[in-house]
Order: sequence, then structure tokens, then C-alpha cells
Amino acid sequence: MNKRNYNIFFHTHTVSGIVISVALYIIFFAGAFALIKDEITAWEKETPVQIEKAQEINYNRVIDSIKGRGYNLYGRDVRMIAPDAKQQLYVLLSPSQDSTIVNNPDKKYYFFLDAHEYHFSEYYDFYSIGELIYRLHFFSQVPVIGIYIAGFIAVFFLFAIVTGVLIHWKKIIQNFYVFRPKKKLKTIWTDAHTVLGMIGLPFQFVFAVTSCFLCLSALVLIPANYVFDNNQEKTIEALRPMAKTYPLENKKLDTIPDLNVFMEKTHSKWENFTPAQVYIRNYGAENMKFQVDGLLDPNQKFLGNGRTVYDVASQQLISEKNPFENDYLEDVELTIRRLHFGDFGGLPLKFIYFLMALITCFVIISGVLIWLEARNKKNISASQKLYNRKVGHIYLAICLGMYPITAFSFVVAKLLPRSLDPSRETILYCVYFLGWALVAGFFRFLRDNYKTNKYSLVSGGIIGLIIPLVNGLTSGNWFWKTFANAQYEIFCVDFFWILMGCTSLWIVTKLKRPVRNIAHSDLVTSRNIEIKETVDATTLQPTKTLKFMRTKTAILWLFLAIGFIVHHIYGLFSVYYNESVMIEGATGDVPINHHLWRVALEGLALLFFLFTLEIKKSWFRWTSFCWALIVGFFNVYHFIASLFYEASNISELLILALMVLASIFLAKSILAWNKEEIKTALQNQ
Amino acid sequence: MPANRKYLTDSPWQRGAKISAGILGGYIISALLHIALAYWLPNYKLVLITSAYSLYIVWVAIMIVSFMAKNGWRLWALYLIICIVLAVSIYFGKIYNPIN
Repeated sequence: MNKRNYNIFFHTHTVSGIVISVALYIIFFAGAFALIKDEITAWEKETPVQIEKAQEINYNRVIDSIKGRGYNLYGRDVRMIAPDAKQQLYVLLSPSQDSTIVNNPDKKYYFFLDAHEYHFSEYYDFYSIGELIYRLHFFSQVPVIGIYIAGFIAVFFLFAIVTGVLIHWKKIIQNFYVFRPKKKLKTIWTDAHTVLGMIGLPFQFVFAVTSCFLCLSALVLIPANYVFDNNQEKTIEALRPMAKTYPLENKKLDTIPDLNVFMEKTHSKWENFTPAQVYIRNYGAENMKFQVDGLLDPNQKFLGNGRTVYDVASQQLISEKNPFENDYLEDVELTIRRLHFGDFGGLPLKFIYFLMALITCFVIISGVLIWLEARNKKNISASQKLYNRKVGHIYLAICLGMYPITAFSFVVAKLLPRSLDPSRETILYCVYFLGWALVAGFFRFLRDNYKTNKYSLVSGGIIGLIIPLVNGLTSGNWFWKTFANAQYEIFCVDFFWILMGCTSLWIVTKLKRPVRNIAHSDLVTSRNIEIKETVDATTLQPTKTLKFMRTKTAILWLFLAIGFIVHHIYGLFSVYYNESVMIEGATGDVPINHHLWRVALEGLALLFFLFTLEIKKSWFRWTSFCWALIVGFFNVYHFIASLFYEASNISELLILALMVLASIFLAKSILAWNKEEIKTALQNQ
Repeated sequence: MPANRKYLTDSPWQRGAKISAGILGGYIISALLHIALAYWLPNYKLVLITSAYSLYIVWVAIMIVSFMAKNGWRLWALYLIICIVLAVSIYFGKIYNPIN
């Protein structure tokens, strides 16, 4: 490869890697735990796991208990996902196709049914820490756009992988055997980055590609839909035979026959066939169907997906897919899912996946550290050094803070009494995300990557070792007992934490600060000298610029406040033109959280406007900068989400776009103002 | 050893053109290519299901190749030509090998 291309690829690898690094680290770290999310839920709930028994579902009883909850099933598709370590059947009810139903005809429902007792429980009845981490894995906590963000991170991850291979291609074999731990810091990170990146390469490539599909499948559907003349039903019928739906026939069945018969028939067809999903389509109608999608034991066949579809009224098999025969069309998606979720080799394979995910985390961190070290040279100005260093502090604080807070949330999740189940989700969210913010803030202000690393490993390791203790003390599920009772699902969570804890404490004993860093205060002093030099060189009047910068910042705050108010008024537009005056469920009282939103957006913007005119202290400048950033992110998010939901409301979109613009200007203006303040202060010294 | 600056694009417009050509142009070309292949290859279903992974691989490949261009505007011009060629082949594919 010529020099130009090498440098270009090197640069694009660096930039794409640095931009996605934090998000990618979060995805991989959360993904490591997401592999065992069902086991984690079982561990938290202490339910004895008997998957064999849980798989024997009585479908007549399922239907009876759904009907017992008052759901009108006629014309709906009932989708049931087989129980796993959670011991629950996950049920989804599609909207009814029957146009004569008036009460909530277009509503979907989803809930759990206990696999043994057929108890009903809402999805949010027990919000597990496993669920939280699994959802964090694809940023589902960010409404609407979270999964797309994760998808684009995956695309750029693929980009970074391929460019990484390209730049190392020539020396890929020699470099694989190179590790020079005694050399300077940068060589250590580079060697580790290359070697571990190389080991994880196939795994990372597979993950990048499969997650592109899982998060951005809409981008695959656009071309496919075009081929089928934008007929989505046709597309799905051709490409995803399992999702085929049938138009409702408006004749009702007099009596619903025994549904378990169809399952028995399916079972008698193939040995070792386990149903994964069961669909009852067009419930109660003349053309009601009973469809079983299942898999062979993965030990027997890697891609063994089969299907039977029975017509309920005539009891006839109308279509089948033999799991012993492969079909490329059906196997692609299964392969993608199998490779991504690692569910074909039992717990040992998940353990390998887990290790690979942690290795990838290390590759990401070492990439950031190379970036930092490569820019820590004599010919780089002090202010630039200071900036790079701060970026490094923030990145590592966010990434490494995730380990102790995850461990801590496990402890909290285990200690939460079952009486708090209704508010479990809120509590776990607060503990995890607020705790994470606190830990990250603490590490950031340590301003020392070595300490950040050490403290996170020590705290994470110790809390990690406490987790099996807490589990044993609260539930009596001591890990040797669960192992002896072959409760491997529950055992594996404790085992993972013991392993994580021991490994991280072992690493801590090996940690040595290799090179003494330049102290933060020294860098600040030399940066100040640099600034002073530039101030002396120019004849500008700093006080005048300063006044201007402050006024500008204040006006931008005012603009934001007015923008929020105008946005609220534009919201009323829909009341004028297309909605009845009172929204559904309105009681005449304004809910307290709506007040809080307005206070936070309009009130705080006005408050910052006012204070900018009066206060110029350093803490205030940084507080307003942080708040401006948060509001800025919110504005960007709000704008994109509105594009999805109310693309027709042009006036609202315009004001939201202006808000995004104003936020950018505001952040820039505060930074400039801050710089000007520092300059003036230095000049007055 | 950050990359040597002398090989990198300095003009923000040029950089913007290359990045947008890589991301946006890359996706459009990749999508059009798969549609065209669906019309011209014997089994369109297999092409479309393959696109579940190949679409992203082709996309990223185009993204990477884009950065090798010397001029971002010419790159866009080239991508437009490729798009037109693919669009024409889709148009005739639809006439000669209709899918239904």
C-alpha cells in the first residue's frame, strides 16, 4: 500500500475509533452481561430452573388464562415465545383484524405467563438488572432513536475493523508475536491493541455485521420493499416465511378444538425438536392457524430450524419446513441471530463470548490510550495537551466507571425486597444511571487515568466478590449448593462474578505506574503562560470582547427560553386544527412532571440568562456550559424524534431546528467567553 | 505517531464531500446494487436475503474506498454515474425480468 493510502486509513481508523469508542465500550461491556440476561433474571428471582418441564406448555390452559384476564382474542394473532431460564412464557397479542371490535381494536398487548402455574404478570412487574443491562446494550433507554444510534455505531465499528486490518496487513503476522511490556507506555498499548485486536478479529467482525442487521434492518427492508413494489406484506411473506399472516375470514369457529394436539403432532414428527415460538393466527376464525417454529438441539445440527403450520378447523398440516433440511433463505437470519446471541453452545460458549467481549473492551480502551500517548509529545502545545488529557479523563471515567456500578447494581437488585417490585424499574434506573454519573464524575476529577483504572478494578472486584455472598445470605442459594443441584443458570451468575472479582483483584496486584505523568497543575500553568504570551502579543482590548461575549451568551440563553415557549405554543396548533380540546385521561390538573419539564427547560434557560448578566465566576461558567450541553443533546434528540413522529408539523420542526442551531452557538459562545475570562484574569495579574 | 498531515484532506468542503459520499453515497450504491442483482440474478429471494449482511459489507467497503479519492466532488460525480448506471439496469431488469 502506498504511503498516502496508509496515512489516510490510519487517520480514518483513529477518528472513527475515537468517535465511537465510549459508546462501543458501553455496548460491549453491557453485551457481555446481556449474554446471560435470562440467567441473571432467574438468579434475581430465585426461581428454580427446570427448562425441560417449563417447555411442556398446555396451550389450552394458556388461552384460558389469557381469556380469564378479559382479553377478547377473536381475530388476533397470539405469539408465544417459549420459556427460558426465566421460566415464563412471553405472550404477544397482535391487534385484532376484526373491524367490528370497537374497544381498543388496534392495541397490542404483551405480558408473561408463568410456565408452571400459568400466573399472569405484566412485562414491568419484575424489572431485572439483566433486562436493564440488556437494553443498555442497544441504547434502548434512549427512546425512539437509541437502537439506530447503536446500529450506526456498529456500521462505524465495521469501518474501524476493516481499516484497522488494512493498516496492519503488511506486518500482521510479525506484529502478532510482538509484545514489549518493558518498553514505554505507548508501545505497550500499541502491542496489546494489535495483538488482542487480531485475536478478537473474527468475533468482532461477526458482531459488527450482525448488529448492523439487528439494529438497522430498516435499511435492508427499503431495497427489498422496492423489489416488491412497496408491498410490505409481500416482502415479509417472501423473505420471512415464519412471519406470514393470513387475512381474516369473517366466519367464526363454533368451538375451538384442543390445541395441544397440534403440538403433539409436531413433536412426533421430529426427534429433539424444541419449539421456540408458537403462533396462533386469526384466533377463533374459520381460517385459524396453529404454527410452531422450533429448533433442533444445536449439538445435533447448527442450523436446524423447522416449522409446522396447521389449519385448526380441518386439523390439516398446510405447510412444513423440515429442520433436517437446510434452506439458505431461512437460514441466513437464524445464522445471524445464532452468531450474535451465542445461544448454540450452552453456557461454555457464552463464557467464551463473554471473554471475547471483555477483550474487545480492552482493545477499545487501549485504542484510546494510544491516541492519548501519541499526542503527548514535546512539540504539542500545552493547551492542546490539556485538552487531549481531559478528553482521556472523561472517556476513561465513563468507561471504567461502568464496572463498579454494574457490580453495585447487582447487589442492590438482589437486596431489593419483592414488596418494591412495582417501583423496581425506577429504583434500578436511578441506582445504575445516577450512580454511574457520580462514579464517572468522581473519576474525572481524579484527573489520573492510573488511579481511575486501579480504583475501578478494586471497587468492582470487591463488590463483585460480595455479590455471591449477598445471594447466598439473602436466598440461601450458595453457589456450591446451586452447583450441586445442577442449577447451572443460577450458579453461572455467581461464578461469573467470582471470576470477575478474582481476575480484577489479581490485575490490580500487577498494576504498576510505568511513567510518572506531568502533574495537571503544571500543565495548567504552562498553558496559562502560553495564553499570556498571545494576550501580550495582541493589542485587543479584552474587556470589550469580554462584555460582548457575555451579552452574546445571555442573548442565546434568552433565545432558547423563547424557543421553548414558542414550541409550546406551536404544540397548541394541533388543538386548533385536528384534535379535540381535551386529551385522553385529562383530569383538569396539570401533572407534576409537566411542570418539572417546563421549569427545567424554560425556567432554567431564563435563569441562566439572568445570571449570565450578573455572575462571571468560573463555577458558573462551567455549570452553564454543562447545562447548555445537556439541553443541546436534548434538542438534537427532540428534533430527530420529531422527524419520526410529526414530520408534517413544519412550523414545529423549524423551531426545533433553530433550537439545535442555537444550542450549538450557545456552547461555542460559552467556551469563547470562558477563554476570554481566563485571558483577562491573566492579564490583570 | 498520528498520521502524517500532508496526506490528509485539509479543506472542510472536500472532507465533507468525501464523508458524505462515503456514508450516504455508499448506502445508496449498495442498496441499488442489491436491487439490480435481484432483477438480473436467477433467484431474487436469495439476493435479497443475502443483502441482510452483504448490504452492510458493501456499504462499508465503499465508505473506505471513498477516502482514497483525491477530489471529493469528482468522487460524488463518479458515484452519481454509478447510481445512474445501476438505476438504468434496474429499469431494464424490471422490464425483462419482472418479479411477481
